[in-house]
Amino acid sequence: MWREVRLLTSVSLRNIWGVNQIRFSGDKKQKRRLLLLLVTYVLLGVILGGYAGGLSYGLILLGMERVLPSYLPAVLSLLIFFFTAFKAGSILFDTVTYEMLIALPVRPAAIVLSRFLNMYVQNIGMCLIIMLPAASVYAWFLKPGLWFYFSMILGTFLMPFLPMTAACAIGALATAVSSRIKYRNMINVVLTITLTIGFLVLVTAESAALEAEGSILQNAEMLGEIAAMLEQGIGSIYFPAKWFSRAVVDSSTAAFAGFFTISVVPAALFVSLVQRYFKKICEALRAHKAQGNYALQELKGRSQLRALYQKEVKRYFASGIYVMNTLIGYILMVVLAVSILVAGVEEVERMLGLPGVMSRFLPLVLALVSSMGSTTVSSISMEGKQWWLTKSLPLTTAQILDSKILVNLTVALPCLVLTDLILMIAVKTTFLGYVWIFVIPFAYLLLFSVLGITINLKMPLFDWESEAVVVKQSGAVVVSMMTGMISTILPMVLVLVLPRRLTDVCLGAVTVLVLAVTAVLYRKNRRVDLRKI
Amino acid sequence: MLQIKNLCKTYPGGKKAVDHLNLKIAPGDIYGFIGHNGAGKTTTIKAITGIIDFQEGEILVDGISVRKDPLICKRKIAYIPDNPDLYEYLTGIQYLNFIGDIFQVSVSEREERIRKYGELFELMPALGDLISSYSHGMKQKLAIISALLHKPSLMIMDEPFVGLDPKASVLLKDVMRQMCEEGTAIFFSTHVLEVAEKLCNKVAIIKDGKLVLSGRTREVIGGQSLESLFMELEEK
Repeated sequence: MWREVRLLTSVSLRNIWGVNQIRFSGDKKQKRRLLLLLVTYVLLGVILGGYAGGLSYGLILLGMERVLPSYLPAVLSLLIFFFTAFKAGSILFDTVTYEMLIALPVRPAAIVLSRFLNMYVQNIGMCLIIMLPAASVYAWFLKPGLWFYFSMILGTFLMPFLPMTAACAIGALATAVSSRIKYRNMINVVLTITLTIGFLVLVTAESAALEAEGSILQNAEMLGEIAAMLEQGIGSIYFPAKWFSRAVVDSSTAAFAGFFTISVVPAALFVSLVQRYFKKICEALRAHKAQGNYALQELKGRSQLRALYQKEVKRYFASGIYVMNTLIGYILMVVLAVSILVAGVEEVERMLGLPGVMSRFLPLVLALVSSMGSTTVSSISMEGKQWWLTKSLPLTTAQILDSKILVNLTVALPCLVLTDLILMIAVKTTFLGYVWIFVIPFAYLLLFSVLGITINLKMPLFDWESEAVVVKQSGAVVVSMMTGMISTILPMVLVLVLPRRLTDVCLGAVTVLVLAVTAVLYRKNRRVDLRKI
Repeated sequence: MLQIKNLCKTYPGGKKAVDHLNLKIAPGDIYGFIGHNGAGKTTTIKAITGIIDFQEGEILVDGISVRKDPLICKRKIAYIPDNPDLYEYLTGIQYLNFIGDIFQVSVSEREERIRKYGELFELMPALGDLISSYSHGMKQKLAIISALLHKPSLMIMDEPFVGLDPKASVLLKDVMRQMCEEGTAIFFSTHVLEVAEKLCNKVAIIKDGKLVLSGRTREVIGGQSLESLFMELEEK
């Protein structure tokens, strides 16, 4: 079976980011795009790795190095859980490749395991980028023994298993429950988002309690006690992190054995359970309800743009993974506003561990969240094998692209308006402060609706088998996320550096710049010859 | 109706798919386009329908350049691809109504044509179902109905008989003949040489991107069958 798993995993990994197609297509333009993508990943890796190394150095300086081996695994596990939960169901039960694979002499267990490993390979990359610099700094200053290296390296490779299993369990549960229901996509989306946000709220609330205790001790300037307390606190929220920490810091083989067991056993149990129901779930998902009794009724004519827009809306809601991964940003924005309304800005800042950020940069934080959910960055790639059809129709580039932008605005605007209205009540600020809360996220929403199209036109991916490849793994999505972070964090730095009296001027300038870039890109996109894409 | 002048298309990586191709299709022609796999048939068809760009040459639809005025040309064309990858998340009727909206066909005309061709190809009862639930043949039929919805003056088809059941194949041939009588120009690629021989008044044979033979079917094949002529050309 391991041979089957190896073969299936290598085939599915071969086309991550479209590498295989680019490699063999001989297209220089595509190769340049791949290079750009690699540069983006390296940049992201350097930022994350630099952050982890810096954090490690800072904690060692403060004498809080004990926190590190529990804090980083806990944060990483949370990130892995969050990023995996929205794709797990679609990847595990991908029905497009299912039919092709099940006809081959391959066991369902091998298919499930290969899909699980596919996700593992992507998560382990993130773990290594964060853990390696942090561990290197730790080892450089504290000169630990050989056991440290052994337990740190093996432990890092084990780290993704538990959060992945939890995320996959949510994905699998939501998919299995919805597989026999008519509106399965929407039910799946609602279930997955509810379960994931519920889990995250639970964890954040726990960590808020911990932070509160930590801050009391901080006032007492008892750093050693804070470290012990944080370590214990993280352990009480996510106990495998405590085991990992004890294994690494105290050279505890028992703790390492515990971490090994808690990582591997649930994953193995999960795979063996899912493979048992794999065929049934996939077949239920593939089953089409055909009535076969249609009688022609009166049709209604629409304008070209309206027809295109309605087609795009149907396309959007037909893909659970597309909806989940774009809508979550906007939902989180509403959740953030409600949290501020209920608990107050300071409390939310403390819960998120971002003191002072919300009160000073709230419009930019909203802009950052809204930039993460743009549907347009995948909208052209999502046309997939049907791209010929759109291109063959008597439509202008502008009509095709506008319909995609309208979908993003349809999804985002209700959430944005609701968020703004809640924040009007929840936040006490100046008149201009309220204006920025409305204007800045809206300007960024327009920017990322248009920029998403620009990026996707530069980095399209049409030959995909699974929608997850487009929505989660495509170069366009990564570049858009990076741009979102840079374009919102830079103004934050600017606001921080400039005197307070210039904050409004700075935010005004940012808004004008964002709108100007949006207008330029919009005009440029409309002139693109889609025959070349 | 369709004029291809010195068409050249090279794909990234350097593969020359079409090499100085010249063709002329008049109204009322049923023009068969024949060639081995990878000869350049689909590339030519995609260039005509405005799906891909080309480096050299010119394609004129009713005297209008596909390169300069693609929109006007597309309004006159109907295209049926070799693999009917349609919008699977729409139902059959939603798809046809969408095509009607895009080609701005009046509601009464589209209802009349959907009824006529839906019943002819026996697809009417399935029009309320999602396209994703259709078989390959049903998708092909839907693509054919959608192509007929706006009464095109130029019909471009890539392997139109693949996946169709025998009855639907016969019906499609009848529809093609009828359209031809009404003055529509039909240009289609096929590997079924018997069909091309019987159905087409003109044929063109393409090999490695270059036009080898073209003209009136009877004149091109002479005394032999199209199949033996094709094999003879392939072996050269």
